Amino acid sequence: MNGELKTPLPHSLQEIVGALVFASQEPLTAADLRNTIRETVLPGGEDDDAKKENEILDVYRTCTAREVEAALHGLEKELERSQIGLRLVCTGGAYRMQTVPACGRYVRALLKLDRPGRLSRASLETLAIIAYRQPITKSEIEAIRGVAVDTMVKGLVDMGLVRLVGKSELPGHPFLYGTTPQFLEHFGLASLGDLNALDPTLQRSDPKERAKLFVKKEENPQNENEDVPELPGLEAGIPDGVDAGAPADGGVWHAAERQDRRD
Amino acid sequence: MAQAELFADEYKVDLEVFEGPLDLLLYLIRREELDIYDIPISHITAEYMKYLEVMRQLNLDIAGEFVVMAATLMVIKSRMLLPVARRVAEEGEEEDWQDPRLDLVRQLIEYKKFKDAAGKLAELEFLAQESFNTGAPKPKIEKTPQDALASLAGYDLFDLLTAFQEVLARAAEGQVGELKGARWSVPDKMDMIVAKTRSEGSVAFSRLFNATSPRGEVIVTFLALLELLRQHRITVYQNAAFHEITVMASDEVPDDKPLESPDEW
Repeated sequence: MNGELKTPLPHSLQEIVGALVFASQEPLTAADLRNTIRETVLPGGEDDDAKKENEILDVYRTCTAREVEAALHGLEKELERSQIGLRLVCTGGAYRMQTVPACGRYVRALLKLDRPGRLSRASLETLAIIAYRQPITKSEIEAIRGVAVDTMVKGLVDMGLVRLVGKSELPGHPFLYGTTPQFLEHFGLASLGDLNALDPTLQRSDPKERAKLFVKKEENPQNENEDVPELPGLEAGIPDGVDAGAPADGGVWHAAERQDRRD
Repeated sequence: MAQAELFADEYKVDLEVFEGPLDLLLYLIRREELDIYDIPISHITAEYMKYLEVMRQLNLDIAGEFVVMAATLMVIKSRMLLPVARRVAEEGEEEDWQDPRLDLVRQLIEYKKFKDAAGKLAELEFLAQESFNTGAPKPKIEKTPQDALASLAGYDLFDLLTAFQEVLARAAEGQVGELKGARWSVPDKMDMIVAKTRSEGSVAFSRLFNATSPRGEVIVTFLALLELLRQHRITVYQNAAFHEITVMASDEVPDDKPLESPDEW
């Protein structure tokens, strides 16, 4: 008699998207959502009711990433409007639901959590320099801060906010540093582009342009697209999985490409 | 507390993780309400040297950069003293003459932008920490020991040094001979500060020091304060920039947690 038990149909794509984001253990990109919706097996069945049902569900099944993004946008607005204590946040192109900051103290009391420590000002300054000027060498950071930054940078790498993103081909082959996806996560930034809105007097430098500074120009003039310094490999201490095509990747080099891929 | 007999001269504070010479200069420019584009170099050099002296008295491990900056200031000062005519004669055409402060000003302005951005990031971090994920919890950022050491976030180390400078100036002079006899220890002073903040809620910075305290005691008390800040046992705040600093017991650490011995510092 199973065939006669029917689940109700979703009212809208927004409803489906909301359910998926809420239920997910991981942040989801628009592409993740679209793929899940596409791959969901429909009930099938030959009678008229089933055909009608499949017709409706088929509309969702053929949704585009753009429609999913519109649904996400609608969901975000709806959550904000309805004041249910949740909000939709986007980090590095991936969406998740979070409780609103206004209720943080209550959630913390419920979960018996202490307020987490905050980064020191020295850390934040170093991090700001890396974030806006990545890829960047230690000596460039030192030139701006006016102090040695070895301890600071090492601390930021240990905390997973900063990583080695390559090696300069300049004399001494200094390492190049950049921010991690966790950096975006930690500060609730949707993308590195958000940094530009923080302070109009300070704009992020173009990572691709900066990368060219660290490549020997005379050697491969024809390979203009291969201006990305080679990753130094194991000893680089890049946290595992960070680069594994993660949609939430706030990485430096492929930011532009990823945007293209999403459509 | 076998290790309790800690004295100022055995006590090293690593300043690298706190602030640098550019911070100090910006702090002085702000405090003295100076125009960053027209810094009175001889005035600021004098002020800068005062702070270097306080740090030296505290036995703060003054980073080489502080000394380099002192030298830079001296060079700029001396070049400012040269009459323009001679400067022109020495350095060629008049149009070529550059304000000797130019490089420093550029560096300060560039640095200040990032300092301001860091402030914005601090706000974002605070807000982000107020929201909780549905589903999987947020990945936790484990703070490194270095960062815990440096977590004097939210206020200026230099404000503390200013307040300390004032207390030190009032402290009884000429008792250096007695310093060795009276054995103030940093842990004792830490206990004193904790007891005071707990019983009174908040204490004005200057009230931690007796008007008649000799310099040695003042210095040890101040080091105890820095150590307590590092351990998050107390917090300090100012109602407005350059006002009196208030010291409070911190709610970040439970009261029953024993004070760490500062000897690992």
